[in-house]
Amino acid sequence: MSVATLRTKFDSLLRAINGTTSTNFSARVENAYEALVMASVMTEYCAVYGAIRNFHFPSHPRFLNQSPGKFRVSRAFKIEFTSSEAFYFAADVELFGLNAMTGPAGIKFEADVVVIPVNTVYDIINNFDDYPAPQHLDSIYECKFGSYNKGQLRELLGLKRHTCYLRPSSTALRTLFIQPIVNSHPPIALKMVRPVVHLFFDRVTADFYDLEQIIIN
Amino acid sequence: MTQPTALEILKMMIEEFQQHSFSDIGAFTLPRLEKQYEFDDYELKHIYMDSSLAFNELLIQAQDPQLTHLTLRRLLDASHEYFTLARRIPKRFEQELSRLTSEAAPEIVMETMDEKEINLSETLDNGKIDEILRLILYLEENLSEETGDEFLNQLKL
Repeated sequence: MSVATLRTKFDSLLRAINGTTSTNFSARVENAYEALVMASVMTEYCAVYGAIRNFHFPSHPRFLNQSPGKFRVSRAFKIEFTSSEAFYFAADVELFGLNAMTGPAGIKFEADVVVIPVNTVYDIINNFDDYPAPQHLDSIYECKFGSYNKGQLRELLGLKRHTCYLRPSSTALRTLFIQPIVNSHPPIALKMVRPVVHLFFDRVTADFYDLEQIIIN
Repeated sequence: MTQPTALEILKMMIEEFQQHSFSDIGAFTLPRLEKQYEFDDYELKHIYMDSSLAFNELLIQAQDPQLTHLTLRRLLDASHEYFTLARRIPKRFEQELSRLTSEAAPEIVMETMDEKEINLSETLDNGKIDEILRLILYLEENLSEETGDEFLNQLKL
């Protein structure tokens, strides 16, 4: 046997793994990773907010979207905590930026996983055409399973500036995962999520912007 | 395996991964911050390595006969890690949800651009991934130069 035979085997296996769907395997992994991140974020909220009173699955089975769009209650997980806090957890949502603090306006940026307090949903649906604005958000996650590049870090900084002023947070200090939210107004936590550790911003810049890289695998 | 074979296999794997859009594996070959942090100097701590260049880096490094085996090991380890982590996403999703509710976790289903649906739980738990993992392990087991190239004849495909 030669390496050429080995190549034929690799070729047929990789082809089979990709399958016949329109998206390749890597893209599907990246999408499915959002579901895992969403579940891990729910677990983290549980650690922060305490016991769960009610857990609701999305009523619509397709809770991930290849093309990000509007926030849909039917495609979001909902958790009510005994502390009377309640949140929706959704994937692939487009967000208004700071321009929309007083009403729907401006361009929208996509986020992979978003957490929305239930009491802001009425405003999103009735006044913001189903797209959340910064005042409706509790935390946002950018999920990157595979590729790693500097552009992704710029993307994260861009999303942060799109949604938050660099200002002391308006609410009492709250920590999601490790990094507390100190310098963001509105106090939205924004995290980059990867399966393995990669170089992140230098610590000081990350601290200024309350940014954090978390590892979920 | 001998050095020329190791180099040939490395090139073959990289070409195949690139051809079938598995370049994400490159990200798993990049140095990990945690492991190196306290030993490297400033430059190494703060240099950005782009995953799209990772395969090129491997090809350059492998040209040095002293480093060919090491480089192939890095690629094999990275591919193994990528496929293992990718395949277990649906299971991990279930595990996380089971910590929150006693109800069964839903399948991970995605809506595509043309409003069709793909069941990601099913497509990620692909039997062919087992096969490729076995192949990767077999190459790793026979990576030592002392093994020679006989292992290629014993490989059952």
